[in-house]
This record gives sequence, C-alpha cells and structure tokens, in this order.
Amino acid sequence: MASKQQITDAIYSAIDEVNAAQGSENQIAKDPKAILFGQGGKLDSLGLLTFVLQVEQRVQSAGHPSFTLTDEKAMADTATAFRTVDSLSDYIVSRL
Amino acid sequence: MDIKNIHCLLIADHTVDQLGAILKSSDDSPVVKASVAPFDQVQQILMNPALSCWKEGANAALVWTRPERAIDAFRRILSRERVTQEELFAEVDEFASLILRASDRVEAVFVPLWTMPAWWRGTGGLELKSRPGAIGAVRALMLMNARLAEKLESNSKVHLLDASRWMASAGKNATNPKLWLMTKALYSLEVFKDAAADIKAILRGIAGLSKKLIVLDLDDTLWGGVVGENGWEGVALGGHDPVGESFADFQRALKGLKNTGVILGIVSKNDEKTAVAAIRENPEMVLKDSDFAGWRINWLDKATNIKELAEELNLGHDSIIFIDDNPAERARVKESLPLVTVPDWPADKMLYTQALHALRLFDRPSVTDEDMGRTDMYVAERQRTEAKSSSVSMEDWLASLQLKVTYEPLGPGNIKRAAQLFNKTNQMNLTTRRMTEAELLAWGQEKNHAMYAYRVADRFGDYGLTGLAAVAVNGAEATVTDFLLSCRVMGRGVEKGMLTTLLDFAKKLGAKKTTAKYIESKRNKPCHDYFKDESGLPKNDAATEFWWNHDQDFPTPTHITLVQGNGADASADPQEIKNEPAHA
Repeated sequence: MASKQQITDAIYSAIDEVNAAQGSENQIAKDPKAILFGQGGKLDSLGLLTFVLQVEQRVQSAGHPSFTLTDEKAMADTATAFRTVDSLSDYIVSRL
Repeated sequence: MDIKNIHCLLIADHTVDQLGAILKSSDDSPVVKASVAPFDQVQQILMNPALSCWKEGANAALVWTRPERAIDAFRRILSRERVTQEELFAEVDEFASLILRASDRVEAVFVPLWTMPAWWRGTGGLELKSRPGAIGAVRALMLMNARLAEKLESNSKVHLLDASRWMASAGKNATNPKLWLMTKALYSLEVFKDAAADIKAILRGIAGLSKKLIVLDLDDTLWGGVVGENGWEGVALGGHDPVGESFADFQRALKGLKNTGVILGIVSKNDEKTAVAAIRENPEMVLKDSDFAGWRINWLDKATNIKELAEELNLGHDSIIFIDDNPAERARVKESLPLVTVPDWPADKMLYTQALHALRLFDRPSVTDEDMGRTDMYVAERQRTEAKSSSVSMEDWLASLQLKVTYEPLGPGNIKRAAQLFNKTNQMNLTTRRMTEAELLAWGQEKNHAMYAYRVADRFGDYGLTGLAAVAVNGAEATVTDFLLSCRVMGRGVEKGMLTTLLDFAKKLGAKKTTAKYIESKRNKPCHDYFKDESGLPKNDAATEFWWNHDQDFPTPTHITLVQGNGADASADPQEIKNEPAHA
C-alpha cells in the first residue's frame, strides 16, 4: 500500500503537469495546504478534471491499477475530498 | 509575420483550451496569444470569414480535427461500410480546399496530421489491407494524410504538423478515454506541450529566427577521446562499438542539418594541425573539412574564438548554437556571449543525436537551393579572401571577381527564396518592411511598381538570390520602397547595380526624381552608412532621404555585368542584355 507521502508526491507530480496550462498567475503551489477546489482554487472545471485524471493515473501506476477518482462516490465527495492537497492525500489513502 | 504579435485561432472538434493556455504561457518564444473558436464547428468556421471568431485579430490559425469527424468516409470505414478510395479522396480534397480558403485570412495555418488514439487497433493487420470497395482504417489514414499533404503543399502559409510523433512521445498517456468522455479533450497535456513547442519552432522559423550556425567542439563532441593524446587512430568513431557508432550517428545528423542550410563550424582547444589531419584522414569521419564553413582550433578562450568566427562568417550571435561536452566551457560561453544558445548537453555520449533532434532550433518554412549550398558559399568566400589579400588595390580586387548581377521579377521560381530574404535581412535593409510571399507577388504586380530579385555570381561561385529591391512610380515622383541585400555580398558594388535597375525603371515610366527614405531599425545602420557614404546619391541634412534627378544618368560601377533574367523559372538562363560594363 502506498504511504501518504507517496500519494502526496504523486499529487505534486500532477500539479507540475497541470501548471503548464495554468498561466503564471494561476500556478498551484506544491504545498499540503494548497487549495485545489472551491473558493480560492485556481483550477477551472476542465483543469480540475485533467488534474484528477493525472492523479488517478499516477496512483494506478504506483501499484493500484483499479483505483479510480472519477466514480460516483468520488464525484459526490468532491467538495471535501478535493479541497486541498492534504485532504486529497487523506482521501486517496482512505480508498486504497 | 510580426513575431511579437502572434494571435492564433484554435479551430478544433475536440477541446484544445489547454493548448491555448500552454501557447500563451510556455517559456520558449514567441508568446502566442490564442483564442479558441466555437467547439466542433470546423467546416463552418473554415468556410465563413464573416464569423466573429475571425474578427478578433488572429494572424494564425490551427486546424486540428479527428479523422472520423472531418472525413465522413473515414467514419464509415471505421464502421466497416464499403468506401472506395475515390470517395475518400474526394472528401479529403474538399477539406483541403476549405483550409486553403481559410489561409487567405491569416499569415500561417497549422494543420496537425490525422491520428487515431494509441489504444485503438481495430482488427490488427487487416487495417493495413485494402480490397475492392473496402480499405483498412490504418491504410486509409495513411492515404488521407498523404493526400492532404499533397493538396496543401503548394500553399506556403500552410504548415503540416506530425501529430503522430507527439502521440508516440507521450506514450500511453497521450490519450485517455475518460478525459475524452468527461471533457471532450482528446489529448493529454503532454501532447499539447509537444504541439505548442512545434508550433513555436515553426513560428520562429517563419520569422527568420532559426539558428544558422552550429559551433562544435571536437574531443568528446564529434569523436570520443582526445585526439592530441591518442591520435586520430585512437579516437572512438564509427566501427563496431556503441560509443563510436553514436558519434558517427551524431555526425550524420549534423551533416543532414548542413545539407538543409545550417552552417557548421569548429571551436576547439587543440593543435590545429593534428585536429585538421584527424578530420581529413580518419576514414570514419562522416563530416569532411569541406562541411565546415570555418574553424578556430587553438588554445585560446572559446568565447573569443566563437566571436571571431561569427565575425568571419558575418553572423549575429543570436543565430549561433554552441555544442560542447564540457560543462565548464559551456558555462564560460553562456556567460560571455549571452545571445549564443548553449544547450545543456548529455553526459552520456550515446544520447547526443537524440539531444540534437530535441532542440527545435532549426525549423524553417522551406529549404531553397541557396540554403543547401550555403557552406559551399563560405568555402568559396575563403578563397575570395585569399584573392583579396593578394590583390594590390580594392579596385583590382573587385575587377578580379568578375561579378555578374542578374535581376529578375518575382515569380514561382524565386518567390520562396525572395520572401525568405525579404523577411530575414536586417543589416542592409532600407525600410525593413515584412511581407508574405503572396503579398510580395501582389505588390510587384501592381501598375507602376517594380520589385526585382538579384542573383549574384563571381568567378569563385554563385551566391544565389541575395538581393531584393523595389520602386513605386507615381507620376514624376518615384520612391524606393525596399532595398535589401544579403551581407554575403555587401561592399562589392552590387548595391549600385541594384540602384541602376530601379532608377532605369523609374526613368522609363517618366519619373523626374527618385527618392529613397531610410527608416532606422535596430540593425540597419550598415544600410544607412552605404546610402550616406557610398551610394553617390544626394541627401538631406539629416541623411535620411536620398534621391536622384533623372536629368542625368546614374553612374554605375564598371566591374559588374548586369543581366536581366525572367524570374518565372529560376533554372531558366537569363538573357544578357548588356555586356560589361553594364549600364556604365
């Protein structure tokens, strides 16, 4: 099972990827407190879905091939689970 | 095309918003403003110039489509319906005609070739076969792309992009079916990053900003090991050894670039005699000494040597790239010559060729005969310099060159090179106007206008098309609108020959006076110096206006033979209208 730090690193790697399309004023920090979704978030809906799929791919590649972040449960939990890097890490660990 | 003001309209049947964001924000130049046209209305947008998306100031467009959406016959092929090649090609031709129509509205159109997602394999090998009335999908896709390329290649504004390479580079992450289903984005950010980098490389090429000179180190750069210690027999090059083979591959890749007009030079800390002997005598050398336009092989500082070589070859530092295996030498050149591009270079020698191909610094919209023979011109220039040093006076030297200047109107045989020269020449350029091929042709064909291309040759060789000048006559007044000459032939009296042809044209159309107004740019001081000090034209106090009154003949140099060509076909023999001294 992947540790929380491994999951956080996977999220940071996904942040690196999506930042390429974010513009200098909308860069997402690689910080546990960085806001991903909701008020203060810098991702639009397309950016958020791209980010979610990037994270999903990375977790799958880390030894969890059937892991998904785009099922109904994850979508229903978006507001809380995707709020920050830290909350997303916790959420992913809880679902592994 | 104004490289600082590029606005690209993204027209697609899949979500490309993130490509737009990457074009705007990625670090490499130019910054591209991008706007996204209404989703999935490609045909309508290409057809209709009145749509609002065309009115936002775009000077470039990207047309990126899914094959099954753009070409209905291909969708039917995927559905295993019977489709003939003729039906398929008819739709491709129609799509190509829409792109060509849209190209009138912008200065550049980018068209990624059609691809299928990497996960799609259909029925395997059957997809490559065809039988009467049925074509395999992969085979159809290859035929469609080849047909599209064929139909678009005559338009110099249209630039095809190899999307399959982006897909291969991104691997299994190139496409994600979930991304498509949830966002209608067909491609991943990795693909978009590659696409943006390729688009920017082409834009730099169009603007004449591609690199012209590769300066190379020798030891552990062109061959493995130190030639001064091991002799040429002891260096790693070619043979049956992975490192030796990798250096031979690297040299082959460099030779390929040289054959498209990129100049190669050497700056190496070595004993010159030993190093040159290694180049000439090692049978494994792919690059020969005649492949190098010049070199500085000595024990001096490399930055100083690069500066000297650039002066010898008449090239600006911003057109140079320096490749050296030694990080300390790279750092020194980076610090001393900030305009020279010094890429990080892999420590692993087997990755050199890959690193060279990854640079994206040599894109150009087209390759002319002049480009392909550029190094030969520099070799000939070396011989001219030797002749100059042995001549008694400047006049003797000029006379010894046996210069021949052929002037011709613009046409299919010379427009590519003419446009390239028109948009790249900075130093000897009176007004620094920039125009596309179509604009140049149209301008030259207007009544009372003359736009001439000039080919220059001498006894050492042919410089090719190296000058362009234009005059517009309006009643008794004529204006020199453009006057530009490659630095390769500056200072040999070619300028006066060019002036003669313009003044002749103006006089024949009844002009009493012809005026040339100098418009200052960052780099055209040499042109000002020429008009001010050498042209022989009267000038105003500020030396910004120069003129000739046609009540007297313009004195032309006696060492030039001026010949009129037809320009319709570059290969046609020009008709010599005057023997020496022409127009004297």
